[in-house]
Amino acid sequence: MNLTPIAPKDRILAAIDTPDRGVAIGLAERLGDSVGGIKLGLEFFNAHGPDGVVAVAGSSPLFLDLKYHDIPNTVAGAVRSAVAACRPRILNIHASGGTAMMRAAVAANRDTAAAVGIDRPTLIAVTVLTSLDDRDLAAVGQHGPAAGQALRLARLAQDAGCDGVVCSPLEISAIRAACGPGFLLVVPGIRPAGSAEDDQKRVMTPGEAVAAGADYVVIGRPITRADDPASAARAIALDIAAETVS
Amino acid sequence: MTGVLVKICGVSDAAAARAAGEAGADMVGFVFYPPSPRAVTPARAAELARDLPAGVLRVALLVDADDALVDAVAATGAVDMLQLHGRETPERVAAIRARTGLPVMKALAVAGAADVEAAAAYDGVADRILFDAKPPNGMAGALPGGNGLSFDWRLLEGLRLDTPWMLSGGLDAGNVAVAIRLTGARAVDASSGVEDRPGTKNPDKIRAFVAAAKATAFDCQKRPGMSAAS
Repeated sequence: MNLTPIAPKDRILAAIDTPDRGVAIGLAERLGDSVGGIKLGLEFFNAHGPDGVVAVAGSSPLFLDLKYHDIPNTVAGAVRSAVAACRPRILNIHASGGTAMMRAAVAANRDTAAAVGIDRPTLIAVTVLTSLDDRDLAAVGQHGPAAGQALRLARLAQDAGCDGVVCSPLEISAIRAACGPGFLLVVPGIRPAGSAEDDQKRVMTPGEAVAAGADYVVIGRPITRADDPASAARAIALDIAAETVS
Repeated sequence: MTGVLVKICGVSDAAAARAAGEAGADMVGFVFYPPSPRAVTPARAAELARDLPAGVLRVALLVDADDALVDAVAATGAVDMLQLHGRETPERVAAIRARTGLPVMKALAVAGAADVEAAAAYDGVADRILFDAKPPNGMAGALPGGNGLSFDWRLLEGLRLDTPWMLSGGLDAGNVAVAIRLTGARAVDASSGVEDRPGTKNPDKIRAFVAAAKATAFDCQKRPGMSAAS
């Protein structure tokens, strides 16, 4: 685990959620190095595949957010293909796929990175989708409350050799306490204070999330729909700095 | 013709930062030099930096800082430029620029013609050069800058630099227009001139200074060395 301090702007991963290749490339170019990396997910990948992903990411660190969840062999194959073709900095799987699936992904990630000669991508696990509440969990047969299930899955992911998890702002403290300082916490669903989408659902600003223990924050529309995305990212970086510089 | 670039230096409280931002200052400086009454901690600077408008350049003032302090300030992620206000050599300026990846403004203390000539060594090395007044020998409690002193602006006559420069030293709302007209400065900096006493910024004086500087249309033809025709 790299323990050098991460610059505030480098903690921001800009979620580029669009099926449009030109829009995505334009956004990535406008963002430049004002963020730590970009996140591309299922919407873009399923439209343009690895070639599109590589075209958008360019030299920016890439979080490839495809959340694999299948039998171990299939997930291992997906990880091998993705690492070789997309060369992500971060990629992810579903912790609820179980220990064997996660171990297969960990091994595939490590071996493929070595084979193609790149730094090993960080492999993180999704715990509980932020769209699921306790009742939704119960309906699919998982034991709530959501926070408890997220913590259970985070520990399982760590035991399986994953580098970290995706978690909600509300789970940062508990998972950080349980899994230690070297376990990477990537936190989506955060809106900057005062952003257009700011509403009662916002529980933390990016700065508060990092202060609480998040390593990276994933931010979409507040950056990508701003008139000046780089400027919006800079304001978020300054918020992170204000909350974390001691 | 266009407005000059205005920097308010030594901001250490929220009211001053707000005034500078609202008044339209282009740069705001935070002093990372503990002996200064305007000194801020990195944490304080980061808080103040957050609350400035997006377009304002956040500048960190350092005085003969070692690598550890340079790194700590750069790592805050809250500053856009470093201002070196000590005896940093051109080599040191280049090294800090390379080390941090941040643009660097080198401040030079001016008392005589030789001090202005020394700027040539920093031309093309620093991203901007700031001319400030050199405190007289023996001045009690003298700081590297912000002493409320002006130097003889005529010393800038004949100045030829490829690097943009900035005028500082005893500027306030009352004299900045004359200073701009006389020197051809396209960028001006104030610290003590917008204070009630050292370290205590006055928001009204900040607003007045920015307004006075911005209202002074500098003449593109006017260069140092030409007479200050009225």
